[in-house]
Amino acid sequence: MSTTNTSHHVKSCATLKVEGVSWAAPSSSKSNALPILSNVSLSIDKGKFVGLIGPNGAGKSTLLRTIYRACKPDSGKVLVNGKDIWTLSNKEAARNTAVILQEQNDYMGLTVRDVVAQGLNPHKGLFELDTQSDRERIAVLMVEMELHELQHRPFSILSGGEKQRAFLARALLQSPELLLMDEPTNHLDIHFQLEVIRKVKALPMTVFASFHDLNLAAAFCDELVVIDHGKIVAQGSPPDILTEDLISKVYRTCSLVDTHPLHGHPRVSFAYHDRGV
Amino acid sequence: MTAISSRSLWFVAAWVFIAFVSIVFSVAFGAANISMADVFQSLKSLVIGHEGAVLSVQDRIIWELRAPRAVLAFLAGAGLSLAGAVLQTVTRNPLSDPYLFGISSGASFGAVLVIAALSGTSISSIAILSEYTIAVGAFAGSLLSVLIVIALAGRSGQVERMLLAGVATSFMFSAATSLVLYLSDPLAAASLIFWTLGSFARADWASLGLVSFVIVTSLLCFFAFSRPLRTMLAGDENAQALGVNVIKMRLGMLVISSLMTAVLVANCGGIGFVGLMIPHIVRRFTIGLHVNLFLAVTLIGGSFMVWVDVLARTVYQSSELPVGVITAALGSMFFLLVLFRREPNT
Repeated sequence: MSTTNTSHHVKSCATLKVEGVSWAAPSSSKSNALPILSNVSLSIDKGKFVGLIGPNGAGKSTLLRTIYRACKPDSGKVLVNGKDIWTLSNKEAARNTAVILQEQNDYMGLTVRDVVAQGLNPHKGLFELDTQSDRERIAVLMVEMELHELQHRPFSILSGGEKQRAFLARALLQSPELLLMDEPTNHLDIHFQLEVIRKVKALPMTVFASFHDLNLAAAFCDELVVIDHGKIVAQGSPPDILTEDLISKVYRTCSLVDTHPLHGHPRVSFAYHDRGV
Repeated sequence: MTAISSRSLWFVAAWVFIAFVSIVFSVAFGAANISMADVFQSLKSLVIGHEGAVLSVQDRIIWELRAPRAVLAFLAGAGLSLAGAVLQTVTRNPLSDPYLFGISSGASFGAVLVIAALSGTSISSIAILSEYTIAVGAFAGSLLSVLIVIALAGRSGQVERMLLAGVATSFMFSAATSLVLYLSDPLAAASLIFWTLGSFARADWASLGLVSFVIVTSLLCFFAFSRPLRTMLAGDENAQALGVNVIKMRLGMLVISSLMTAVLVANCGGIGFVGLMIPHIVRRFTIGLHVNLFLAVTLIGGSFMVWVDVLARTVYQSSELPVGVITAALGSMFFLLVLFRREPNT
């Protein structure tokens, strides 16, 4: 956590508060609307690395969407640094909060550098060009994310791990105080999973990320938030949260939870077969 | 870094030069035999001024027919390519073109309706009035189609809805056009060719003022918004999180490119394929160059169209080919060539 980066302005980390947020998928008639989040509240302190876990369809992505303003809550508030994010302009919000998504997209001929440079958008007005210091920041980030040799190649030819690093570089160029990630390690092999998470973990900012892999979440997160059927089930430190009882309730799967032999955080072993449980 | 910015500067400078040279040199081509020397002579006399001297026939061909024609061709090529580039960007769809939202078929419908109505009236009124009435009809038709598409799909701002609404509107106007043609004078069908395939034969300085104003203003607008437009290629949710108001931006750019296209269609008909093809070719050749896509597309699309018009008026001795035939034929062949050339696997 103490790593200092020269590539982005070290601002103070943000606090995040979600207060009684509900959201239903829009539908042709009001009575038909499908509730996805119901009265979700949570609070994340400055500089914490918090994992969001829960089964498929629990509302993980939707909860993150309400925080990066892709979904406007039907009721409730999202506060970043104590400010309601829906009172901010798009650009103001994007200067506080950056997001890394799993979007498959070929970027129509943009180069790796072009994609990273999109991170400047919230800091620029009309007609405003990149300054020398912008170019230097991009160059430093490129080296940091080991993308400098690829920077003039088309973005579409990058591997999954390289794309993820480019998205991280773009998010850092926004110089946010809160970084959101929706399953940042999906489709990555174990080497790149660890690489991306370690890089994020070393950043001086508040991070809220959803995970499918409970062991990865347990290894890196300061805190875990569990969501199921659109409601927060629990929030706390990984050893408090990852119990056999909770996993069986939320994931409907039997497991054995013990301590990781190398690092001492909880380790989850799933029962793959009916026998031996 | 500096190597790249100087390379992009050279690129832009070279294309500004090519564009200028294209317009000047193209004036020497056409039915009347005019040499390059004549063009320069005429250019010189205009710059220096010719007190009391009456314009010769040759000067008049150059200044009243060919020069406005070359400028209109440039503006049309530039505007259509620009509209294509912007629409491909905001819809993130490589198949988008300026006629995506039924603008071309809307214009045809408006023009045909006016032609059919005029064919009932006396011949004398057709001569001058009709030229403008038809253009106004075409403009109204294209605006109507844009309004329909926006009313159907605008508020949601979803790309898929817009594309589908555009296709449906396009077919609706085509059907209406066919119906009017079927019910009206056979002569009307012949005039319609102008509106579907395009021509620069009607160019004059008076109408160029409006066209160039619209195109230059739009270009400035796209220039101002080029950073958020590039950011929109990240996809709607990412772009939103990067501070772009995606729905407003998409709608605004749609309206601007549609207005620009409608003005062009009213002046030179619905020239196809340029708006689809030029942005793709330019994207391919400028990757890693850090040239503003919209500027590059304007210069290259405009220069391309100037030479297409030269072909249109020189291929046949006796008559002119419709411009749209050449853009489609040349464009598709070149496009296939580029597409199937082995990718430089960088």
